[in-house]
Amino acid sequence: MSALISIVLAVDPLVAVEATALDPAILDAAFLSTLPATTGFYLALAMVTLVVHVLFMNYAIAGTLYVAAAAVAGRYSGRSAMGSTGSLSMVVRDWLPSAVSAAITAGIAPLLFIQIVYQKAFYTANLLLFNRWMAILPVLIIAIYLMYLLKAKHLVTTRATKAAVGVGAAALMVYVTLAFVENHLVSLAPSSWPSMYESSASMLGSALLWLRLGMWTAGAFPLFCAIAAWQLVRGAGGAGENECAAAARTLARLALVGGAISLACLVGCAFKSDAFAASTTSIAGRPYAIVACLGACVAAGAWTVILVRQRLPRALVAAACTGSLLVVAGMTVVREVHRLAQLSGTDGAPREVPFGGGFAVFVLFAAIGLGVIAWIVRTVARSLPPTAP
Amino acid sequence: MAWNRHNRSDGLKGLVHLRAGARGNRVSRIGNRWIDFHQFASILHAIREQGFSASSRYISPMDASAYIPAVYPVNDFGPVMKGLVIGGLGIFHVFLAQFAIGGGFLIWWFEWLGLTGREPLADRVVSSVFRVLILLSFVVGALTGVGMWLTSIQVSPQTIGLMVDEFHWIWATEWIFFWLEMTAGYAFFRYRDILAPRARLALLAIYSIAGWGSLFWINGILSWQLTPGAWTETHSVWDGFFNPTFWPSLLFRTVACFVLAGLGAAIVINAMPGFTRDERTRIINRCSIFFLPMLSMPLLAGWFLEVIPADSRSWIMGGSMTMTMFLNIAAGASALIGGYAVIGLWRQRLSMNGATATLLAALALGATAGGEFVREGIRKPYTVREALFANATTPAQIASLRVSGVTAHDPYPLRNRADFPTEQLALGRVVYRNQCAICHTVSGTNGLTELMGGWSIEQKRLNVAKLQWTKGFMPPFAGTPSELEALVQYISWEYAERRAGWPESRDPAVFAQIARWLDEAGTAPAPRAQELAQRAESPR
Repeated sequence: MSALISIVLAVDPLVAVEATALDPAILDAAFLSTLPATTGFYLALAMVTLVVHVLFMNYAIAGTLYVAAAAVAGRYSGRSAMGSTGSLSMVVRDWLPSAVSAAITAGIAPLLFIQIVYQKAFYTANLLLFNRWMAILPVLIIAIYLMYLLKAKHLVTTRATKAAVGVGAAALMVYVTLAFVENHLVSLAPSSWPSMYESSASMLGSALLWLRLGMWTAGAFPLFCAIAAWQLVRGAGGAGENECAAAARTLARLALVGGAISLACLVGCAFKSDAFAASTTSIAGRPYAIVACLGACVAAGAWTVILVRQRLPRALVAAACTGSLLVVAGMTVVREVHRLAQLSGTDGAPREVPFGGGFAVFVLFAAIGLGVIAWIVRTVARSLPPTAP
Repeated sequence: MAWNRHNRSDGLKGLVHLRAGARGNRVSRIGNRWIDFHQFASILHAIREQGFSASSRYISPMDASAYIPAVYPVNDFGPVMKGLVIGGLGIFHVFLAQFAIGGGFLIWWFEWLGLTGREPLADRVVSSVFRVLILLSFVVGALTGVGMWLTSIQVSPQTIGLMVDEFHWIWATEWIFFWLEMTAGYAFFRYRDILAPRARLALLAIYSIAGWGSLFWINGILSWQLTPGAWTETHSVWDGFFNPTFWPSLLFRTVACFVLAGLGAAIVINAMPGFTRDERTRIINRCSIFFLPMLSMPLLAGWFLEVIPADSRSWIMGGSMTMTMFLNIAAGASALIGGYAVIGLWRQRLSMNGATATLLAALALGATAGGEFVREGIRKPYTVREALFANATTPAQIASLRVSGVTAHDPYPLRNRADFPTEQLALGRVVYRNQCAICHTVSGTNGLTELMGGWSIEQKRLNVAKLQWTKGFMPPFAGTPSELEALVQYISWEYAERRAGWPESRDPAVFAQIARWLDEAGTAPAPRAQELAQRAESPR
């Protein structure tokens, strides 16, 4: 048994990382309080913008997986058990390309702020992953075109083609998620960088990588379901009461099962990684872990009631949505506590960054931009036909 | 300790601010970077030994904070030169992005023509062209933009790192414009049929202005790389942003956007079914107004040439035949497009069928490729003029690395170390990786064995030691004499097809000679460049 364990440890580069002592000064103080103000500010911005990115990315990942599953199961067309034009899969299919575009646009900001704070770690991880990382670009291009193809009824006609296109798009999106997870894990392992470079090793043999992939992918479902529920409640695709009822059952099951799998993977990560467990329960991470737990309870409660009632009351959808957002926000901070504690004092440690010029102009255009976007949303909303009460 | 001194080692602003002025070299500022005494002594020694002359404006105000360069793992692109990868992607992205920006204005124009009753077919044109815009620019255009960023990290993380450090709020501002472009674009695409006419026009105006705004912001950063202007003295983001080539470059690119939009629309309109020949000709003639700004291109190009550094100008005026040729390709292709479009279409003497439109678009791609090649090429030997050489080292770092060695800070072992029979050849490979691999391959594109292989061993030593004198667009060599000798031996060994039994070169006289040549060449860029720059600065 001990020989087997040693083999597992030998092929898992992350195990060596876990042995690295975490910086207690970071774990034992309030989050961000140990960083220079500018670095903390950039890091806070990175996390806020990451939450926005995750919002769209969860819809894109879970939505693609759902559409793929619907296509395989033959529930792809509008004449599914869920009703005619209000079919959930049709609404999701319709919005997937826009959601991915929004996710890509939203993803620029966290990448920008991360490379300010963790420049060495982020760039090195990019370089070490090389082809596997750069492949996300063509993969995303193909995935988005497949999503457009899913919308083109006259091009994708047979069930087999629909299933193939749907599964293809879903597989590509999962690959992108995998690449991001691996990038993050590589960036956490400065002591392994030279050996990884020499051997061109990947982290695909690491259990932690797959657990985190499972956590992110399954964890995308509760938020996706909450947003999709909002879309149906707001009358997307002309969804009526019957469609909403049918969709309520499906969405509640997806959200609860996805959340449970994600939680199981999270527990697995904590067992596998002492550093992650210690970060989560530390003084710095604990308050945010509690926020995430509360959010999970609220979302789970809301979905359970929805499942029982088989309806989508706005209050419950709002609760599910808020709960999921709290989970994402809380876990984003916990993830950052882990990274800070692990990288502190290493070659990949966060930098003391001088405050760059042009901030006032950014704030000005951000305010104008938000105002204009609000105007666009309002203008479109006013033009839409009224929804049923 | 949560925040130790080592954490600060990558800080942008430096601890030692070197300034070469009329009174010679002096340490003028101690910043926030922590170094030990030995490192401090080394850099001072390097400065003294390498002779930062008072007359050298290239070495002058340099932030020496990063005098030990950040070392990253270097990937091998095989026979493909890294510049080709990022250049190819860049040309493709610029072409698509400029089409998308101009396309926004073109669609707005047609929407207005339709709403005011001036063009009854405008509605169909708007619908078709905008669908192409969404499918191309929102997918391939957006992702090749992200690709430029990620590829820059692969090619030169130090360069993109400096750009991000200096201009991150500009990039963040550009990000706001991306959001505006995307939101307005999708809102128009999805809800056009139910929106009021004024709202449609407003959405297209927002989409167009936001697209052009993203060009405005990125243009400031890209033009800063060639002409950082007063930024080299002040390090003010706005001095760098509104640099000498900002306006000519922005206006030139704006004209290119309009032209590409016109050509793209002509292709789409020709591909649309259901138009009669007369209808098609009429609509394409309406697009021709977008070609008219081309008349200003010679003027804008002249303005651009006037404000670029004198040595950069000399490359494209015959100093580098390749760059001169690419400039002529860009100018010739533009002239052909302009001639056809302005004379033929605007004056309505010619029509433009699908094949012609595609051919002209291909010429435009050629013009874009030529222009982008020249823009990248004339920065040499820098990636950020006066701040960062093409081999990702700052002038101050070169002085330091002449003492400490470029390989001393590299923690990454060689892949396939067993393939290198001696320590010296292995060292040479590491030097190649750090100093040459950004722009060269070993025996592929721009391969060193092709460029240097035929030289004698003494020629190689001399030419690399005085690299910036050997070729004016090469940076000074950054390393010790023993590293230089290792590089020379490695290139010779590769040229000899890795002959077995390759001897180590350990003659102290050789190292001494190399050291003398390195000293003679100094760490400043090519003397010709300095001379041209001084001439440009002197009163006329």
